[in-house]
Amino acid sequence: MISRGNTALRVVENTYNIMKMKSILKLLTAIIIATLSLSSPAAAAVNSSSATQEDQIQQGNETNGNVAEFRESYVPVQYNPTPEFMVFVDMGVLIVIMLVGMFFVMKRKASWKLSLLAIIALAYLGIVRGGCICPVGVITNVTMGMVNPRMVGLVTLVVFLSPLIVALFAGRVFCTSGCPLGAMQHLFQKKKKLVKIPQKLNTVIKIFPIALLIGTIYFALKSSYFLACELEPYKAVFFIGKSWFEQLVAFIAGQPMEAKLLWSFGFFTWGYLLVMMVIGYWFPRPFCRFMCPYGVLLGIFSFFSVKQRRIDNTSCIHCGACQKVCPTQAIVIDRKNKISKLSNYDCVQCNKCSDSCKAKAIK
Amino acid sequence: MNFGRATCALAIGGVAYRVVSKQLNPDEAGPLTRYVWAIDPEKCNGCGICETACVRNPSAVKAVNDQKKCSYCVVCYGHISNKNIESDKILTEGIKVCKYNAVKRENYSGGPDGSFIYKIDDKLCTACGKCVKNCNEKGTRSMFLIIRPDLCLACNSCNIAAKCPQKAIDRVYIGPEDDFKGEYSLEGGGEYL
Repeated sequence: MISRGNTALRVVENTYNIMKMKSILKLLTAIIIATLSLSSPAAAAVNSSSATQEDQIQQGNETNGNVAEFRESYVPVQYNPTPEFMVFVDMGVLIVIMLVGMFFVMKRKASWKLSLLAIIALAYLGIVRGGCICPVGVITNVTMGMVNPRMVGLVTLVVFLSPLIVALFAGRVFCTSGCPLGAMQHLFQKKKKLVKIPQKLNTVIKIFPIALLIGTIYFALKSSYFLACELEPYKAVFFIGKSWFEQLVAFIAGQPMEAKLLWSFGFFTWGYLLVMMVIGYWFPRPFCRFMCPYGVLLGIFSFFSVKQRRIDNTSCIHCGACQKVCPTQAIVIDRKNKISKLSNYDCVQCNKCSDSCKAKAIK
Repeated sequence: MNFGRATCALAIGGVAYRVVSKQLNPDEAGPLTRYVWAIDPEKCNGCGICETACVRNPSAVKAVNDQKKCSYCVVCYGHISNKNIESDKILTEGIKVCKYNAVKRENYSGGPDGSFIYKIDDKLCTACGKCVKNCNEKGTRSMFLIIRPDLCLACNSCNIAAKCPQKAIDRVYIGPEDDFKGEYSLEGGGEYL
């Protein structure tokens, strides 16, 4: 599986001449794999015959002990889950990221600042914490919580509501700065010359997320089945990232938890991820636009937001520079009638349009 | 526009009120954050689906041996499968149940016919469940499978819970898991959804 992924990557990268990135990535993965596989002597024991020798040594080392005493004094080995306060830390990080993002969006700062927030969100919420503070899947929890409030925790509720509250002030800030899924798509997309979907098809496609939202709620009520979680393609990266990070921490602490490096999910999930990443390179944000059920809620809330992003038609020169860089095709420019429109329902507040605008018409 | 904004604010308030008002009441409050998956050892039959169905590879499920229940036999059904051999040849000629040799035998009282402590090396265990099955059928039921909460990714939709033929896996409130199923058993310590 690893080698197959590497060859596919190599093809993509060779064509686009990102040799530096490739070598850095390769070096990093090689270092991580080497350290982690060296770290655990048990990894070698799995495939070797030294285990029987160990047994014989133990047999020779005879002790005279009373079993009844041993049974009495035996303390069960306890395995503790991730401490509960970590969820509060996650919640705090998410809220801080979104507040900073809201500031950047409201002041219309440069888009690289928002990309920086996206990197932080991807690194912490995505890879270190396994992507499981994800408000996309929380829709199911909250729907179940509406029926039976015992089913949803307070932290889960805050994670669900805080992006919506932010959206009510400054639009879909969460989509670019806070969402690990959004960050995956935001960071791995083409910078210029994005492929645009025809306008009519684009409006038809907007039905899919709405249908998915209805489907998620239906399945949540019917069988507590997490439809949005199942359809989310990036979980493989997050889960592997999380467990590799934990393994790394355990290795530094001197106690590797597992004999070998974790590898999870099958061919289907990885193929799905690869397809979504490849699509996402030319058609930016495929998950956000075609699938994300939480995006529908955020879109509705940001449609009514206090500080809306809009194009000032008096200073706009209708050059179409913003339309070219917009990842969600939220901007429609009618050159004949000299009208530029920006849909706050689709806008993910990445600030790329205000970067590109020479007339400073984006307010 | 203002009307829409007010509706949205009202919706947020409504959702928050519905949950928070119940959660602040200690009688009706649920868990603060989340649940963990746990296997009921009474229902588990050691079929070994946990080994392959878990999204983790190696699986987050591990076999453990409860030392309070174990009877420290010379011949352990979870350790070797050919039990009609002489007791001093068990380590050399015994056919191990575990293909990774994760069940470790340790002489505690001395002599070939004394008491032996069996420990399962969690780094070698892959949760195939063979030792658990043998111990359940012929032994004292001291071996059982647990989902290690430190390894479990706590997916919302657990693959092994969906595939378990015995429906032995359920969500319980967050808590530690150990190799002694008494205090923390699902019926006693934990609570079902």
